[in-house]
Amino acid sequence: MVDPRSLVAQLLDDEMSAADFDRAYPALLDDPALRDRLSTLQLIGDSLRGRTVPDDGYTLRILARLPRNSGPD
Amino acid sequence: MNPEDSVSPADVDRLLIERFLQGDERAFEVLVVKYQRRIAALIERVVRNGAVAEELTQETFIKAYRALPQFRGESRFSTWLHTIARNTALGHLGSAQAQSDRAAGFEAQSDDDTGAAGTSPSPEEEMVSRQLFETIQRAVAELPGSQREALLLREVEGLSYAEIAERLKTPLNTVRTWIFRAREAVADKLQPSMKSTRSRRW
Repeated sequence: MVDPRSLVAQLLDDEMSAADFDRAYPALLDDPALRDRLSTLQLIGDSLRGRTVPDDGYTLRILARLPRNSGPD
Repeated sequence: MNPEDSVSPADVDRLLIERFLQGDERAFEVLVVKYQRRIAALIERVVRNGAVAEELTQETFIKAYRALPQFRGESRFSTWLHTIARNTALGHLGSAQAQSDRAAGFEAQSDDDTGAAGTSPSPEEEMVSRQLFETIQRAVAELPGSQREALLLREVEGLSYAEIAERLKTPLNTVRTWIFRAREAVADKLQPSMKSTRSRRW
């Protein structure tokens, strides 16, 4: 059994098989802890690259502006 | 490496795009989360204003959301998204809005009471950000050498697991394990600091 946190890391790194993606993706959507883990991994990467870290509302402000009711063109 | 162990980098994005085009909007959320920081950094390098960069980052993802059905996959999704971001930023620089923003920027610089736009981090947020940065740097410094080297090759140099395995003359699965353990160790050190930021998770 693969640790779901490992799958999240591999998703972020683009290092996973399609079968692992099929396991990781629903787990990511269902589990807030895994989404937090993804954010933490990004934070670590940003810090190591010396990049400014956006505040934690940054994602939500982007998602709030997506024109979801109209859907993609 | 077993060819079934991994797919090419573009494929994870393609799988997310396929799901989005099938009506699963949360797949686009994952793309946003995955790329927002890189896009924000790219735009900020062009416009040199954090608040404007955030606005333009939002616009970039709105454009991508609308245009994704026309994405043909001839380039990587990340390349396509970067092109949208660059064009959005350059378009802004050439617009009248940019003139206004520049003027506002000059005014903000000349008035200590006026900060940048409302999305700029507060002094408290900056302090938390600095503490997180220092915690991460300390935690990475304490990692075993092999784990630290693999993590830095991945995060700083952007090497794939296969490239890291070749560089370190180590089996791919060992590299995967080193990077995973390194991140877990650093993430564990971050946990106490991260608890206060969970209220606005995506």
